[in-house]
Amino acid sequence: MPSKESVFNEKFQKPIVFWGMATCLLAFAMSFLPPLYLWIKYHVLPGAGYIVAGFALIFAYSGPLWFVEPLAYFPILGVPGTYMSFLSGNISNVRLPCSALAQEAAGVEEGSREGAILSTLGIGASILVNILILTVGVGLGAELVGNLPAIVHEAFKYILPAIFGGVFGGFVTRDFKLGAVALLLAILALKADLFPIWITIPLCVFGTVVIGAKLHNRKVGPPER
Amino acid sequence: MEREYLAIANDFGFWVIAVILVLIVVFQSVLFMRKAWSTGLEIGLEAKQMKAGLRSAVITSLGPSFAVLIGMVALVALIGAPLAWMRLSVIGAVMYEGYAAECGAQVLGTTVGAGDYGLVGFANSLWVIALGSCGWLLIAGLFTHKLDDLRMRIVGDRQDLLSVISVGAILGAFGFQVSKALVTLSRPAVAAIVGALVMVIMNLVAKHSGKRWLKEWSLGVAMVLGMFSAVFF
Repeated sequence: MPSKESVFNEKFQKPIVFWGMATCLLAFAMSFLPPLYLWIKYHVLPGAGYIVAGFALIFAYSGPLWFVEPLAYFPILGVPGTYMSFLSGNISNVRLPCSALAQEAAGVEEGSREGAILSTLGIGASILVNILILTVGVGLGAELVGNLPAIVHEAFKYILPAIFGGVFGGFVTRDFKLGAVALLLAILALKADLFPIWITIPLCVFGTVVIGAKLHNRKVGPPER
Repeated sequence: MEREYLAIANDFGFWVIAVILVLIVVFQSVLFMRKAWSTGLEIGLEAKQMKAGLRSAVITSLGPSFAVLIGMVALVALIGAPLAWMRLSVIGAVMYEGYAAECGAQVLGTTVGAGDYGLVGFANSLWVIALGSCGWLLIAGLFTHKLDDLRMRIVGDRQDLLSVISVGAILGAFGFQVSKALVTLSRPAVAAIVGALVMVIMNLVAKHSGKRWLKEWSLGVAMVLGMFSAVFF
């Protein structure tokens, strides 16, 4: 009988890497279609200088995140989850919580092969729900949103911190000490205000990971050499 | 009104482009989920477990998807319906797209939707939106499989470290987000604290009562109570 690792690699990981790469690169090329269409059909093209200047503005914010985010979120998302999340977007507010919670609800070890399976299912479900709601909403959205009671509108302003707090609370029970470390690290980084966000995020993630591994090693004994 | 660029922004051609891109995402999700399901069964996961994971994700994603919808309605007014729908289904993020569109307008000395914004401004916004986020797709497409090699090399034969690393990454990433809310010492802090407390309590109840299904609902309930507590605070 083939081992779990070889089944996972042959039947799952390999086709996922092929299709993940193919879909992401295809979408990369196709994401330029809207401005190209406007150029070809309506002959509207801003001068190259304007495009570059606008790009420079946004790049100052997003450029470093292109590299840092896949790296920082990979331990949670896994291989398929990374392809899916960076293709579909809305990562910190939807994909990461759904990935983490699906692994938790199924009772599998985060980051294990089983974890990658559950992360895939959780993120996939969240993507389909998201697209379904937006597709219905693109027709009815303005009316639907306009008719919401004021208090619901107000409450949705705070959904992000509520989600973030919820995910944090869901995992802090595994290791309260590490949770305190994570908060302390982040509050210090935010208060000191020395770094741009693209340093602060990996600093918080990898700082917590390293300290977590050290605490774990102290518990189970040092790694054997 | 000067907003005639919006008539073009709702052009049928943009709908065609948007549908194709959204279909790529749906294709990828369905393909990956099917493979995950069959492989999961083969490596010893139970259908029951995987269904619990699926249900938890559906419940959890409802709230934030609705929040994205609210953001989309605002974005529709700026860049038209097809592209707003596309950007928030593919690659985009609700906080990001409006800012990217604004960057495109700013360098022309205008602002999105202003009188002198027009088609050229709209075109520049579209270029900046596309260029500004293309890197995520490129990096994820080219290097994701390398990240797994890297992680496996770091972990070596210490498989127990895998979950330690993942839980550390979750606490680190969300600890940062929670701290951003906490330092406001205001309503966002209330939302984060209530969300966290509800989650802790629901997990404890799930554990001690043996009602595992509570975990599927926990984050959905935590976010609703968190966001409304912030309003009533």
